[in-house]
Amino acid sequence: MKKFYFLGLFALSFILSCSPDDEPVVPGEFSSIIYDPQTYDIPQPVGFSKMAQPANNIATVEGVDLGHLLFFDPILSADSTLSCSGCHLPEFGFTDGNSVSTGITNIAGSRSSMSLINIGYVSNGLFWDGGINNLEAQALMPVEDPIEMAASWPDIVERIRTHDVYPELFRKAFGIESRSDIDKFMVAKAIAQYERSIVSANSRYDQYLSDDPNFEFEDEEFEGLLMFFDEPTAAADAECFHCHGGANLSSNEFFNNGLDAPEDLVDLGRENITGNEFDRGKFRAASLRNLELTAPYMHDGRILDLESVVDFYSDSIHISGNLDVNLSEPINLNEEEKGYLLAFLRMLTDTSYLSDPHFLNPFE
Amino acid sequence: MKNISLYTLFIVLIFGSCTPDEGSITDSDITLKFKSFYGSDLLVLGETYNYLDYEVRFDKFKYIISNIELIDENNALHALSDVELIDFKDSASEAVAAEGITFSYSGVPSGAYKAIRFDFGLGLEYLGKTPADYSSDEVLAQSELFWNSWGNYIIGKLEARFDANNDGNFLDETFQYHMGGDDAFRTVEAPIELNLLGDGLTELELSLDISDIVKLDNSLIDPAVYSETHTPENNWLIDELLDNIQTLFTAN
Repeated sequence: MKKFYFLGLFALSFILSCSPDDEPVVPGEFSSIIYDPQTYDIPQPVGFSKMAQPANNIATVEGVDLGHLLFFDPILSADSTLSCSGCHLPEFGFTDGNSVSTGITNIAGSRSSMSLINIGYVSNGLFWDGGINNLEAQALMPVEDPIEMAASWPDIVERIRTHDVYPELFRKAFGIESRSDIDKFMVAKAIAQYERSIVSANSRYDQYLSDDPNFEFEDEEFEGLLMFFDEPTAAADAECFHCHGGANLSSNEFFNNGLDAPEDLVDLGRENITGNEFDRGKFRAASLRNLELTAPYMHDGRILDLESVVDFYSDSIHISGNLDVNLSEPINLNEEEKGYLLAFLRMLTDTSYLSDPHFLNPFE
Repeated sequence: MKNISLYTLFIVLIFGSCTPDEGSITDSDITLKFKSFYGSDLLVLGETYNYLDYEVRFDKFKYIISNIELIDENNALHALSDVELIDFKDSASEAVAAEGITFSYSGVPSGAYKAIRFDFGLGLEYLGKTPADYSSDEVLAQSELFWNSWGNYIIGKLEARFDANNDGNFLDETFQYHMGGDDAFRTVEAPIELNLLGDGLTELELSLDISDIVKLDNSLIDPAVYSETHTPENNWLIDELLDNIQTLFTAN
């Protein structure tokens, strides 16, 4: 009998001593709602890496669904008129179609809304200047930015805590015990999960990459691809791949692409983050996927159409101390060569996601 | 008596079961610090240096090393890491350049080591690999390091611009020496005198002088003659640069 007593004591002590420092589970208002999040499989298109996710915010079906609602819900802005999707509309490749974005106060920002297509594959910081580290941190910013949503997080969190639907969804996504457990970081996590699920790779270029037996190049497209990737061709080398290479057609690096002469430079770009003059006028080489949908172009949306982008790189680059070495020689394309390049760039358009409810506004 | 035995067993099991997975007490930590120089000067991106009759500014210097190992006095190999990217992109000031690029490793057996060995570039086991084989947060997932048209990794990039006529325009000449190809790697072995005692972090500094990399027949390469390596006609230059690099690392 004594032996059993000691063994029991031993087992109990073992369990207690090895438990993590969790608080005892106290039944909350949501304890009757099952918390059993299911893994969300983020697609890995041909040629792409497996998308890395932060260990403390692995995507789940419940988290992504919650993020989907929050992303399109104007509840996040002070006057409940502007959602994340206000500046990242699916039909514009998750940009807003404007040169620069404006928030609820109609004050214009200084930069163009960046596409969220394949944003989970973007590394080396986010934004045009790499000024923020990850999607979770980014999602916190617009809510309190006076020229974006102009709200305060305590107010927004209170709105969500007292909402008819959201608290239960937070329970299912994050296992909260009561609505008072919801905080801004949880909101940001859900939005970040949804953003990582915005994957688009069903363009004609992807059909080529995946050896689709039904795929055939049109002549201009193929010549454009050769020019883009520096393959042997009778046409001029464009060598766009140096900055726009890889499956997502972005190096995730920062370049001065000669938009401005030094004396005309207004936005210092990457220099604002690093403090180094060496980074003056450098901006992220954005992904070229769905380029047709994301006009206007460049960090300040100054170039209105794709044809003008090709004209710029062909003939109008400004020399400056930080101009990228790969752009130091004008490529001076003729009209035929510009046509080749444009044909290839249009191969990068994937509109198939626009018929998938996962990418559309759930409130419409 | 039985009670005492059981209680002792219980105490031992409790403490034993909850001990974290501590490494052996004979393990040590080591930091590798990579620095770049131009002659005797630290390499600072955007700074001006003399080069032939030109002034030169370097814009980019980065390279991949793989299969990084320490060799102990008994010639046993101790792996530190599979792949690292040494990217001097932030070395745009003297202070940052002096800090170098560091990588720290733990769990290295204490003892005496006589050399460090690594492949400059990617060894043959990486042949055929692409970014799709890696998680997006790994070095080899970086699209900027992969050359689609050649189907392999760019294992090193050195880019510079020159003011050939002293007019302040540093785009008179440029070079973009990108290194890649199926056999674009060299095994580097640098002698060291390292005694890891397990009593703190040991630092090993690895340095590379760029002015000795860009040489042909012991003379600086003229960028007006050879401005890039990634063309079929200049591909041989990659081998020349790699041969130079193989013997240039110094370890302290």
